[in-house]
Amino acid sequence: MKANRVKMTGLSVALAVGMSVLAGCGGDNNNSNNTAPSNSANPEVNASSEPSASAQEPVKVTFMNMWPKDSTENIATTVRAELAKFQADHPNIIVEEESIGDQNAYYTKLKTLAASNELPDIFISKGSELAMFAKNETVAPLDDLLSADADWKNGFLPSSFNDLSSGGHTYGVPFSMLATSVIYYNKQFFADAGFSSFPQTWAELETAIAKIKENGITPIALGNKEQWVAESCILSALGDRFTGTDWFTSINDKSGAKFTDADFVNSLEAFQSLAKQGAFNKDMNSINNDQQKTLYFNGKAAMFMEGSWAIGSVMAAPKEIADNTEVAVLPSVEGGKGNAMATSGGAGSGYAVGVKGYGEKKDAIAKVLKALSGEGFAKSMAEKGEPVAFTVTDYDKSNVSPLAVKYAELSSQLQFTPIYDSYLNPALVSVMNAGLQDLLINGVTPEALAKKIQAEYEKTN
Amino acid sequence: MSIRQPFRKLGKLAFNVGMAIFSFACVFPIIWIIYSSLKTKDEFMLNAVKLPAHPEFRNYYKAFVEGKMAHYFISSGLNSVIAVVVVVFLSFCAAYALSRFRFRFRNAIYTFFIAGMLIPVYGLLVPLFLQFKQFGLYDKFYTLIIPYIAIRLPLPIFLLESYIRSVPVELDEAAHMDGASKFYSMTRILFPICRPAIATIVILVFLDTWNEFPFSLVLVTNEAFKTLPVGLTNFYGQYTSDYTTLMAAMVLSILPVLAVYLAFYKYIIQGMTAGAVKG
Repeated sequence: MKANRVKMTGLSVALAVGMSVLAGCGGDNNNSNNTAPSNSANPEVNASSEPSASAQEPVKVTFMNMWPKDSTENIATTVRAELAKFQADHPNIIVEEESIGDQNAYYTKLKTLAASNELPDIFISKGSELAMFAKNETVAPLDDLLSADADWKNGFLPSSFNDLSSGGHTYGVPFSMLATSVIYYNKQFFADAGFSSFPQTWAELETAIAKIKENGITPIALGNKEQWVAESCILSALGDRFTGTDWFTSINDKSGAKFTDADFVNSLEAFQSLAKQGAFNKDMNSINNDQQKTLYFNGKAAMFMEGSWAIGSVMAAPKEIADNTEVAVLPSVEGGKGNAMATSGGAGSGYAVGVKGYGEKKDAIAKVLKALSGEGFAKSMAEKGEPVAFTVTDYDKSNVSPLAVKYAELSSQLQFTPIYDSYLNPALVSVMNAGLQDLLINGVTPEALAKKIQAEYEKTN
Repeated sequence: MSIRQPFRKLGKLAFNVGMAIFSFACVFPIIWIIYSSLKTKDEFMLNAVKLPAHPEFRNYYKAFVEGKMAHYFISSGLNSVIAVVVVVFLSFCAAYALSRFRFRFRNAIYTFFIAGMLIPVYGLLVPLFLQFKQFGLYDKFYTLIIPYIAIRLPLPIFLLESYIRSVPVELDEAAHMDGASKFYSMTRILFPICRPAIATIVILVFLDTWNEFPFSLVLVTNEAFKTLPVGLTNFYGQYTSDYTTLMAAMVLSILPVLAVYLAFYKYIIQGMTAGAVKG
């Protein structure tokens, strides 16, 4: 009995020590067992432990994304098509998908998984979230994976990794390249106001706005209820015109630049003066970005500013509006330090890899990532008129909508500058976003807002 | 005196008009969802408030068949029904014991149950996720039912405990004198008296479980186990939302809740006028 009890205690201690130790022991046991039994048993044991058998055992790669199964968005259908192709070619890798359509819900789940270090093998994440995951070491740095295949790595547009890197490491593989600030304008309304093309300077833009307003049309439709539109789609680009990108780099590295610097304050002032001039619809703080497009589609507004993702919905607008729509970026400003042929943009989101699965399934993960971001994928995206992060030269343009072709021409000349909210920390962004709402209704002066943002910036330093 | 009469009438009228406007404001969103679900996407984008020019039911087909709403209906339905049955049973037993017997730790147990109402769901997400993962309960067909029952229990116990306490003990004593067992008087006498409270509980538990979101989002991965609200998020895209189909799906998801409410609502009214020992 005593011996039995000792054995039992020993067993329970062994159990308590944990799964990892047990797994290790199991491995050892197998090896020692292999030599011990008679020869007849050997082949069977070998069959289950040899690498040839593990190749038959399929590797499961979990993939969490924001594209619902029945979604008709181009990115969703392209990813699904590439995945199906991939599954046919690699029967020993099984990609298990989970899709959650709503962004907030998606990130709620992602953060819960991150908090318990259970992130999926591959998942989509915004750059700003990725930086946080990287800090907590729940995502794997992908530098080795990328350098292992130079053709793949060098195929990406040079600036596309910017949003997905932090602390000198790359944590994400980009799948698209978005501009967040594109001006969609109705050339008919501009022609009525005496402009045959989009204004080239800020002063000209102000004149155009005044004339359009005289014609009884809202110059710029703005739906900033959700607060990110004014910042992500307007200020990120407008700010850069004034400050230049070096200023933002310095802000982001915390190496001296301030939000109270004259250049940034000037950009806020320019933004506010547009509002004072009556360039926006009065209810801008109570409608959202879908409704700003509605204003434009109804022919009540001459332009709206949103990211390149809006191309699709413009093409679905009433024909008369869609045919008259052109794309442009903000004009140059006087004394501005930024490049005028630039707009805020970047990969924004990318595929990231949970650190837990990376250790054991590195090769399988690399293969899936290549299938979902490499040339084949990029080509089929480009053929649908979607902006891609991977260089594709010859693709079939016949199915691409005219506006997408116009945008592709424009964007090929553009430089991409940082989108504020994909770099700055979320607390700072929310102060800035709320402040911009106030700024546009004259609730705060540019100087006071700049001070407020700077105060929050110093708090998080 | 006679001068005051018209003023009082006027006051009443103003009050009623105010209330009518208020009720309209409450009901309008639902009416709006119903008629918007009959519009096409383009029609909706152009004018969100206008009535549909050519009402059509294509959105319902899209939501139910293409959006695979049936999955989520089954999952939400099963979870809700099981949760309702188990919660009513457990809470009635617990409330009976808590209100009819004096025993040690009675107050501690009662407080323990009630304290459950104070914990916000989002605070439970991460710990619960870790627990489920460790115990191997993650992503199973029974995964959701466990926290659903646990988290719904406090309120019914609170409601039933005070309700049973308001029922005179004399009733139990009379039954006892007539030779009824504890079990008999509990199920045949007390239970029917508690009908209004139980109807309230059925409605609340069903509604809450049917609409549950955070647990269903985090604790399961398999589409078939997710509840309806998580399924509804499939109609949101990354940058665009398919509002009209979403609304059709919403109308469909309101129906069962409405049915349960209508089925049990009359018991609440009945219970208010019922009673054995009066005065």
